[in-house]
Amino acid sequence: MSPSSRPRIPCAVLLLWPLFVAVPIAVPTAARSESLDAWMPDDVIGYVRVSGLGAQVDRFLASDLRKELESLPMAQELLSHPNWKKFLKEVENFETSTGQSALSVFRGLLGEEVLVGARIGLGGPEVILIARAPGEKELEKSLQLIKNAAEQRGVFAEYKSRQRGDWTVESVQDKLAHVRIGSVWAASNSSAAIDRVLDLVEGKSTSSLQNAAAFSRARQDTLKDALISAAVRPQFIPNYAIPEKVDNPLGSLIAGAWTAALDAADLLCASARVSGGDLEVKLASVLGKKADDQKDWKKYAGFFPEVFPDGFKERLEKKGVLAYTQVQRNLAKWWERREDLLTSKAAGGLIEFSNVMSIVFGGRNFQDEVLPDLGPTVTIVARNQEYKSLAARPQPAIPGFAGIFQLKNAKDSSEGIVAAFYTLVGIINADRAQKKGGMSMIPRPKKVGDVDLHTVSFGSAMTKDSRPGLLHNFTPSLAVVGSKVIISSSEELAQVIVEALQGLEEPTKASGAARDSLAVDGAALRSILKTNRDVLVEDNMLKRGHSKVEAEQEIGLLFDALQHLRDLRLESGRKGNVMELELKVSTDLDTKAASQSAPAGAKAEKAVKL
Amino acid sequence: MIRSARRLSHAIRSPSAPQEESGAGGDADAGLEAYRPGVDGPWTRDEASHLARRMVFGAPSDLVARILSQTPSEAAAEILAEKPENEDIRFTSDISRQVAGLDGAQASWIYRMLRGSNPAREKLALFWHGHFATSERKVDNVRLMLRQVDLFRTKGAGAFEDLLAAVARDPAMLIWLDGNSNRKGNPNENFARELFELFALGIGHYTEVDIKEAARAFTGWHVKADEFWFNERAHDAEPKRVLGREGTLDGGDVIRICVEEPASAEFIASKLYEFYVHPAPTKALRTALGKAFSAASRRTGEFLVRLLSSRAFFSARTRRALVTTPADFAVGSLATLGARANAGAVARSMAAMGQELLAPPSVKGWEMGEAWLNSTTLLARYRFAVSAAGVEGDKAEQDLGARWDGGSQLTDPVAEILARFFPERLSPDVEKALRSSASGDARLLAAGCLQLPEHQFF
Amino acid sequence: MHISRRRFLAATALGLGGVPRFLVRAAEQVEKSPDENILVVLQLSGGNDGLNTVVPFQDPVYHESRPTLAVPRGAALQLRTGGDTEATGAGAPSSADLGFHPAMRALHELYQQGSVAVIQGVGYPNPSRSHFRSMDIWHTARPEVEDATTGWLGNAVARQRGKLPALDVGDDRLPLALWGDAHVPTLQNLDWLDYLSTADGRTLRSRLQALNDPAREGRKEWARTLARDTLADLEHIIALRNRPTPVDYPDSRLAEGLRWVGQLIGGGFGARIYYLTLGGFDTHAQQKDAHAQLLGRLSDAVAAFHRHVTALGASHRVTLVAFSEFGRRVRENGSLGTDHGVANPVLVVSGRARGGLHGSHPRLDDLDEGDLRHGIDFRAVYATLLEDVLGVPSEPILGAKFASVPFLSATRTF
Repeated sequence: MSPSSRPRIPCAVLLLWPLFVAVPIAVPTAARSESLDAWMPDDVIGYVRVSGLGAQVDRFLASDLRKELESLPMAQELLSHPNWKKFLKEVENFETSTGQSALSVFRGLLGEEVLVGARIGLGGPEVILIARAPGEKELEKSLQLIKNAAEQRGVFAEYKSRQRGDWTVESVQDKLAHVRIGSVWAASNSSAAIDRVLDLVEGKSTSSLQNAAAFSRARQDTLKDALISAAVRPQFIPNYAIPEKVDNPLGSLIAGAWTAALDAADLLCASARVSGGDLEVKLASVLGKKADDQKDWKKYAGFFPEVFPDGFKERLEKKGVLAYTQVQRNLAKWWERREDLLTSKAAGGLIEFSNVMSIVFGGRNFQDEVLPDLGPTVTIVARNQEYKSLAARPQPAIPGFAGIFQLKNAKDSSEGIVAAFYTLVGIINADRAQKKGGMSMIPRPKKVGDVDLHTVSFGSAMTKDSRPGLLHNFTPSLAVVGSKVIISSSEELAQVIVEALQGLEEPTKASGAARDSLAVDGAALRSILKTNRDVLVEDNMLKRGHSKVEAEQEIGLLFDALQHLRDLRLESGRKGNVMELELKVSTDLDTKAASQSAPAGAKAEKAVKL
Repeated sequence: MIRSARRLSHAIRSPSAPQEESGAGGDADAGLEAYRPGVDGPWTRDEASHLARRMVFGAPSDLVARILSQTPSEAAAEILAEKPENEDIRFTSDISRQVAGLDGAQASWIYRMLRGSNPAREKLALFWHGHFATSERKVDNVRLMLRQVDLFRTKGAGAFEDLLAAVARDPAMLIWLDGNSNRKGNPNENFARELFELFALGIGHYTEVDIKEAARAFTGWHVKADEFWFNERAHDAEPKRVLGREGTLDGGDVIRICVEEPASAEFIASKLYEFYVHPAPTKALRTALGKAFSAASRRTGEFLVRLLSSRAFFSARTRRALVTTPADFAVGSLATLGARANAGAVARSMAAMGQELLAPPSVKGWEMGEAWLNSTTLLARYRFAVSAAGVEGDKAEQDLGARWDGGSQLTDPVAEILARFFPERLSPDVEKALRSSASGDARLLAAGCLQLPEHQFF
Repeated sequence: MHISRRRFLAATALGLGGVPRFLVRAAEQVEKSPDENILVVLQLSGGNDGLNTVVPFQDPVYHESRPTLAVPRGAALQLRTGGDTEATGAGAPSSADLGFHPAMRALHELYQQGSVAVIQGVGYPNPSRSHFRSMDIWHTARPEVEDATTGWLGNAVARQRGKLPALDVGDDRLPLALWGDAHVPTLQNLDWLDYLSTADGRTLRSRLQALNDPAREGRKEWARTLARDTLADLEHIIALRNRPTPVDYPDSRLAEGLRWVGQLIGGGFGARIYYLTLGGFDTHAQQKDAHAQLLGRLSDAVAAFHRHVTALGASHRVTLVAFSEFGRRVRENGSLGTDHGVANPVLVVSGRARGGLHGSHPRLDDLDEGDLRHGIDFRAVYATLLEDVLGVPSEPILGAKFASVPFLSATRTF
């Protein structure tokens, strides 16, 4: 029961910056980034690169967008935090003592391009920072200003200098060594590291990051024009261990391949880019030898099935949903290897599940007969409900959920599935009747086109209820369309999906690699949260001991955070020996900035409708 | 008897007399007379905290201050008087009714105990909940359980007969005691038995025949679609004889007859006494209490005000005479500190301490007194103490989410916290041990206060 | 199902003799002899399918009744050793034809060493097939009483007035078997105990001890004594927890519980009765995999426990008995599972066990409405445990005299 340690992902914190900076990149940085690589030693565990941050910060601070963000209550909270106030005080001190704006110093030093690499040396972690300044003079001036300020504060009072070739290496108490190379500044907590940098500068060594085979792939797997990018070689991270077995079956099913990819990675790359109101993040894991080891990796076979794309996803989007996720798994293979993929407790938990499934599927063996029939693509959809058949909106209001499965022998199996559906309904009804004499669910099948939609709902006494509750959200439904089976908690949603599937042709094109996707619609998310605002507030009151007013404030923060979200998309899959994940968060922040100067009449469009 | 009477009156006349442990009865009427500050004894933070701890949960400092500005009976009456509920409570009760499961319902009751405008009513409702102990585990309907608690809130301080009559018709109670099985020709004695034995009379004041006859009177008192339904077809309308009275009695009649028995007044009054004042009243005291209850027209609120502003209540032997129930311990500690917490987690902690709201172990309710304390529950209390005080670095957290400012608003946090929990001053070596274990840290001190043996009594 | 109100009576009464303690140690006067016998009761909740645990793999009726669930002839782990098998009539499976379920490899090894006694065909007359009722009967040993509120072990503990400390291990409610007039503590909230074992926890413990140093008066003194005893016992438990375990336990909740028990026994902890529960045996559907997993877990955990206890040199005085509230029907149902049945085997694991088969296997060709008939009354098994392990007269507890079943040696076997 010893917990395994988690890998440190160096850039996790840095990745959060761009969320608040939504300004288009104009400064091309690609051309010059290579040269910094040429001076970074190649024995680093990993590196982080930030490009063009200075210009971005300038633009942001000057923009209307900044004013807009600052007016958000959430921002107000952050800005009044004591830590932030402390930081501002330090900045003020600095500016007073140097007579220069801190921002210009920052820009002069780190604003163009910064490359930071780290490794574990004999004496502990060794960090090397190489930064490109706008010019030699700027660099000199910035450094001087910092030295002056530090002297005044009594920090870093003693310097030692030594000459190495054309350059002067200054070191402070063995804690910091740095050197100026033209308009480039290199600093490190290790003097020896500076020497290695200079070796590369002088050409005495060619073991640079630029030439490193180990990191060469990073260039391919990084977003172009990235604001931040990073790469790390996980085998060199001390205590890097990914737990082999996962605790949660659903977690394993969804993210199991990534567990594997992180474990077997030769190189992990991450990059983030901001363009317009969008944030894009890409993660890539370049798989190494471990992934070739057939014996070990065979258990992950279930995660990389062969698939035949059919355009269903695109049709679904047109219909408008809250969120959907599509994963492509060979379920039978996954199930077969579940003991290898899950901890024994989690695997034990599945016994109950398979028992229920067997009852539901009327005696057909779940593992040997049901699962192999299921095709690789599983789609789960959530959509806010309209509740047309009810007297009022239920509280809480739960979105409808549906699962869409592919069934290999749909025609033969569909009857069994329909029977299973009614069996499950029957079991639920029997259970409720025994306990409380509660209402049973009544089948009300209907036809959508030429598709039978099997659906059950509670009796009319319940639908007339003027204060509908949780149960009113559920109208379990089932339909078989072509080779797809739709199981839904909501009849509305089932119908929408059936309509989306009408006329969809069976896929015949060549197969492709499995790709998982996830999409969330901002407006729909805001809508469902708003509908359930009271429940969220009450929950906050009880959990945090708040008054109603305080709870509303906190929930308000949540709503503020989501106010500008358009949508969120994620895709993940394996391309050759690289596992990739791409995330895109779209906000309306850029259009807001633009429309600030628009005439008053445009105000109506400004507010994002909830 | 006489010897003990002398001891009691001795204790009342000289408040500095050593605390007596054994139950004394005796000159009880004198004990029930109003306590006169300055004449019968002092009126300090100590007395006010004692009143607060008993009437509500814990001793919140603003309440203690308010009490001090009034006379004992004014204070008792004011605390018990019903005030309109605040917006927070109205909002959460409404939603909990619609949405919550058992844990949500427990959480919303704890929230109400902590933040409601009527904590004394909540405590009294908790008393009635333990008295008419009904468990959600069998009722299996959270809405009905919450309705029952509401009943205790609204009628709990009124006439006992009204409360009893309402409880006999309460759907949760009917489900709990198999009301629907009670039919003409085949009566189910469950409710009638508990009515006499546990709810209204007490053992020894009725016969088995009374139970059988009373059961017949309640036939047809059924529940349908979560509401009370008088099932006429199942009701036995023939003549019956209960507790010496004859007639075509129905349930309401039986309740009235029962309540009019002097034994009933004694039974209820003594139970209230044991919950609010001191365990194990003597026979003579029980008689006196019964008379006082009757004199108050068997109105619980009126009786309580008199009882809790009486000389007996403020006597030395009554101080710290009761063992803190989990509710007093958990909710009371938070209230005294002025801390907030996750209401659901508080409910779970209380369950670990042996008191699970809305799910008492049996119709007998919870066993009070020393039974609350054993090794398992004591460890649970220690855990709660550490979490509630927010001791830094202690990862004993159980999602209590307790937030307390650590007394940072006070000029002398350590002294103030000590005074809140132990206004009567601890003995010197105990105080020394407590202070040194805290080394000046207010949070450690608070945790220590909660963990002291002294705090397990109130 | 109808749940009577008395079902909810709790066992929170004070321990006899004063202070209720977490670790109910024997009263100071009782000599804690190193030869104290310990009973570990393992309850398999839900109705274990005994027919697939101790398998009559040669019996044609068995295979015909269970087309998918029957354990194949070659797969069963044969139970060969002697034991006390009664002479059986033609048609009843003999020891040569019985085997353990293939998942019980670890337990089978123990069986071959002679440490496992299998008592066959255990049940009681007029069996109930309701979970609750049957479990209540096994807990109270009083089938004739409805709504009994004390258990067989609870009664034993109460009668012995502090000399028979018991401990319930696990987070579930105290089982009815342990209810009685004496308080039986529960080892629960293991995460809080884990925390208390850390360095931070030690600081907390010493603070608590300091708070309880000065003497008090009256009832406060009683509370202080309770606190001090609790803390002393806590130190003891933590010390026990932190000792290295001589064997490796598998990874399951049952194994965790048994490990605790092993550690406590190894540390000289005073309890003489331990009670644990393993659930999930109610396999109405798709029994094959589920049951195999459960039996595997059971077998691995119990075997590890026995090895632990043996390493401590205590295997002759620790007796583990595993029972279930009823067996299951002979014929499998339409969902590839089985329904509630009657008679069942009881497994006893001990260095003192007279290893082998006891009683006779119920005949599959003479069923009671599709159920196996019992041959041994469970109360006879209880009587043996009460008298031979706990040294307590059984008749007052069981309400009648039941002849012992000789599955334990009277003296040490090694």
